[in-house]
Amino acid sequence: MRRSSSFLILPVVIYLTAMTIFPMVYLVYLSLLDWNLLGGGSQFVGLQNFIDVLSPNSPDSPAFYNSLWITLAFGGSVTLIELVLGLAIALLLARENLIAKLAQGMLVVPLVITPVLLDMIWKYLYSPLLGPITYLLSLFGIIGMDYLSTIPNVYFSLAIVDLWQWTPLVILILLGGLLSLPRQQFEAAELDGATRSQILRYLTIPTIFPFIIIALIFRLVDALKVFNKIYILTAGGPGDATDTLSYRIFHHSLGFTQEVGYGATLSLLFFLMVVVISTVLVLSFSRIILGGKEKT
Amino acid sequence: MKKDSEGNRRLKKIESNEEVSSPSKKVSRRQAITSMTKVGIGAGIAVIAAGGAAAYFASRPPEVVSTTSTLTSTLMSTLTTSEKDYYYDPSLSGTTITRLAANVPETPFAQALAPLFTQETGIEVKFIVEPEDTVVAKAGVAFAAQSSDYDMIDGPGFGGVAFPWFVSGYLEPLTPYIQKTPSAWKYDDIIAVVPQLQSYMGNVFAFPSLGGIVNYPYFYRKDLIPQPAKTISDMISYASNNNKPPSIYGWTSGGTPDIYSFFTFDMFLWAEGLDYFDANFHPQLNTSGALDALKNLIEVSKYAPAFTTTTADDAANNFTQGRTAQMTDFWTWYKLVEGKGSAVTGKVGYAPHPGVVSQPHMMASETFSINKFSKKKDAAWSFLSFLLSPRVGQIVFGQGYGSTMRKSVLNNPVNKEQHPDDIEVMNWLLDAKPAGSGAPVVAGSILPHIPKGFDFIDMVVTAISGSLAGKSSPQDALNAAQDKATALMKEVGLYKP
Amino acid sequence: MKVTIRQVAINIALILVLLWIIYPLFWAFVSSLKDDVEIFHYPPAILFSPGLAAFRAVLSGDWLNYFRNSIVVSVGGVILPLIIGVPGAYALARYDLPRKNFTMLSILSIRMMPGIVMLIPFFLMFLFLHLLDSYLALILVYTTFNLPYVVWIMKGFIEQIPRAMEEAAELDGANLARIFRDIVIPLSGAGLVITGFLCFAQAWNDFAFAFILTNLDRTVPVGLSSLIGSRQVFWNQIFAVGVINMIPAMIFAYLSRRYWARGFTLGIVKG
Repeated sequence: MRRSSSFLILPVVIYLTAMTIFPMVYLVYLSLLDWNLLGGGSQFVGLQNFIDVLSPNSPDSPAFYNSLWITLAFGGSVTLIELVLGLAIALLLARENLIAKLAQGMLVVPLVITPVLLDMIWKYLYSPLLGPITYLLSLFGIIGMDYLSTIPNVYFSLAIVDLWQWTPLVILILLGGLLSLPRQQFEAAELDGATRSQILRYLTIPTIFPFIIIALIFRLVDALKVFNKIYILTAGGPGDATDTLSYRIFHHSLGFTQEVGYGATLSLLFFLMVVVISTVLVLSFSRIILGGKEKT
Repeated sequence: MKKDSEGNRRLKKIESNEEVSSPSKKVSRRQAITSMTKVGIGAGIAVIAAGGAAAYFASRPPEVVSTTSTLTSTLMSTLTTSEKDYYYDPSLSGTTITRLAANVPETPFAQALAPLFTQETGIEVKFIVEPEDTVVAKAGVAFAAQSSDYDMIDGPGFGGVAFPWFVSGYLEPLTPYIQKTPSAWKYDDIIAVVPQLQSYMGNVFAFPSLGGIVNYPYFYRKDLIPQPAKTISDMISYASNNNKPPSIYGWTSGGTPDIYSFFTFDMFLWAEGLDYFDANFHPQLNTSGALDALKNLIEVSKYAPAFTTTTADDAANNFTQGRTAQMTDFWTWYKLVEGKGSAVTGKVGYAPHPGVVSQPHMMASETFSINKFSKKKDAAWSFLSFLLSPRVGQIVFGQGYGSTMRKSVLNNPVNKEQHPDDIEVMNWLLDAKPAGSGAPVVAGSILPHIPKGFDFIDMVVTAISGSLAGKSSPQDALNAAQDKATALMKEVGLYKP
Repeated sequence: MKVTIRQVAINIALILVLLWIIYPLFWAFVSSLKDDVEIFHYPPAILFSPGLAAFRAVLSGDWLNYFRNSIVVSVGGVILPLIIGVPGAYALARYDLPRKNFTMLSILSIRMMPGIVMLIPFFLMFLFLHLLDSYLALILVYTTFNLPYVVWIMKGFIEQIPRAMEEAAELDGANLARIFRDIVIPLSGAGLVITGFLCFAQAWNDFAFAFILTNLDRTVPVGLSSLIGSRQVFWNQIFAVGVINMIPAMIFAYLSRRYWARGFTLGIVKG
């Protein structure tokens, strides 16, 4: 075992450390300031920002908790739906059928389209004055519906966009697992007289469980970070119904009120939340993710 | 290894006979590499084809000529060699200045005029055009870093943003520059209230972006509504009568939870004889008048398509496409709603906003200022004063900009004859005085000149959008906003007990 | 009979899935062929006289710059991570490095990190270094977010290369560089293709960072978004840009579809 080339890991480590540690330190510094870019200079306020954001008594915190709730609820729901839907469609697609093969090929398409472009396509589709969806629904007698301007429509509309874009990812991950299942076990089970749903429940799902976990982790973490959609489709509205944490950070630090200290505080809290959630998930299932590699 | 334009390595086939025997059911390495090469080549061909198509189209003469270039050629034909009526310094020739501009109707005019300016002075102007809030964001960070990247910076809301910037020392005071500009520039020709509203402690800090000011009046379809609405309740009933979605809606206006809904709501407040705060800077949000205003807004927005995601420009487009019967929007859309591509040419009526008959009149515009950290302030002022000069003021007015801050343009009989609606609207402002001066006609600045003005706006628009979405009752929303706004006014020291 | 009905039902479901994928794309393509007046017509027409006016309007000087910028930045965002990351993946695959799991997990956590968090610090950093509006700034940022992909995916692929091959080459007197050139890289080719594509896509499609770090030298996504902020939203032009944007990626993705299932397992399952 040649030792001398283990140094090859160094460039990666150095680069990533430099590009992440310095910004994080700066972010911590910013979160201790009350700095409004529109004027007024910056003042050191210590942990006051954190207290303002987290304490239930302060006037700012309801907005934060609302944001937190929406981020978690929306992210969690779409992930769950995508997992279930993805599994169902993956099962459908895991066959030698011609149409299935065609669909498999098309699956990658939603993933390679520029997300910003996709959001714009949906913005057009949802447009009450111009959109094809408006026209379609009007043929069924549903008139005058606002997809992005009323609660709860906005949640469904956003969820549909997210589903369209990311279910294919779940499907692809699960397909990878489904297509590598050993056939013998299934044939044996069928010969033993197991029903389709029994096979599904006791054989298929446990075997592709690692893939489900990977899909879960990828999707959940990404869904919590959702920004582009909100920026292009709803701008946090109506009211603060879609004011996710990412959007709130952007809106308040670089958008409207330019409170950079507040934005940095939120960024740190958001970062903490995502790290905690992803670490918990990854560690719980690390045996499955990392352990697989040791099986040589 | 070669890379095609997608940066994927094109692999060469392995010639060696080291075939790998692997226990799994993968295809052999050689086959895998062969197919990947094909894939790479296929993608490369696709990219080249797309690029070739792009080049082909780019080289064909465009059928659609952009508005800016038409405007430039028209404006270039007005070039005269008369005495310069703006600040001009021959030694500045060869400089390049950068303007961070907002994506508002004034900007294409300025861009079209820039070649004219360059020809006359030798100064090049680079435009960075962004949506308004991006301009504010980028400017804010540039100021914080004391960067000299931008020489001139736009700001929305008639100085409402430039004001806190100036107070923080980010903008160059312009009064000394005015004083060294040739008298042909005619400072006294400017409507008095304009520099008054954009000065602080004796120094002018901003000017309207193209020397024009607009207000937020009422547009309606003459073929659907015989007489313009005079009161808000008229407007609401016209909206309801003409609301037949999805082919046509009753009303439209800017309603996004930022400055647009703030502007729109202001019109409803003014119809109640109120404003956001009174002369003692006491917020008026929990008054019964404010409650009525909000209820009216909620009522009429039912007849507006996707109100909370409509910006002022979206609203104008809705109206131009003939999809709404009424509109509340900026005066700069005068005649543009009947212009190229419009579905309502000849069918548009213009009137003061219902409920707001003579006073106060809203003054809004993009303003521009000079960056305190710029290294080319004189050249920037040269361009600024050029855009604001009497000659250019008349040119752009004639070219359809429809607004001006110059009395000479307003009193020009040719303009009165050719643009009667414009002149009438502008005349409302001729005698205007700043709010609080007790004058009969009051010009209300669209964004209050208060420190932390955007925090104030944020509080108000949160209340509006919350009650529009049904998340809280109007009364509760307004009360909450009132508490926060009062605290803010006290915090910035403006609240007079 | 039961089997046949089930087959039919499955086929119907599959067709629905196909339609579901195609619907928005269909509208994007169709709309890109409309002209500036037709696009505002309601109900939106499927039958109309198609034209390329939108494409012509969009392929003006500015947009060619945006495409060029996007390409440069995306290619850079592939090359740099590969140069830094593949050796790193090799080290992780072959050696029992101290705190290996910790390193892997912290590299993964960068992929998990919300980009928004880095927006302000990166912006101020590059502002002070006068690197705004530069290719370097964006390439550096994209490399940061792409390195985790490279390390994770390539590690899985490199692990599948039998050590015996390298040891044999070593005995033949090959140094590290030759081993890389002749063995590691050719044999992990599929991984390189997938990783390269993922990195490219990540850089090509990025919006938030390009938005905040560029002024004049924009990339395509930023250009797209500025089309919406403008006076009149010409959807046909937006979609024309989108179509141009989409086609190479779609063709590539379709041709390489067989490799996707492998890639997404991150090398967990062999084969």
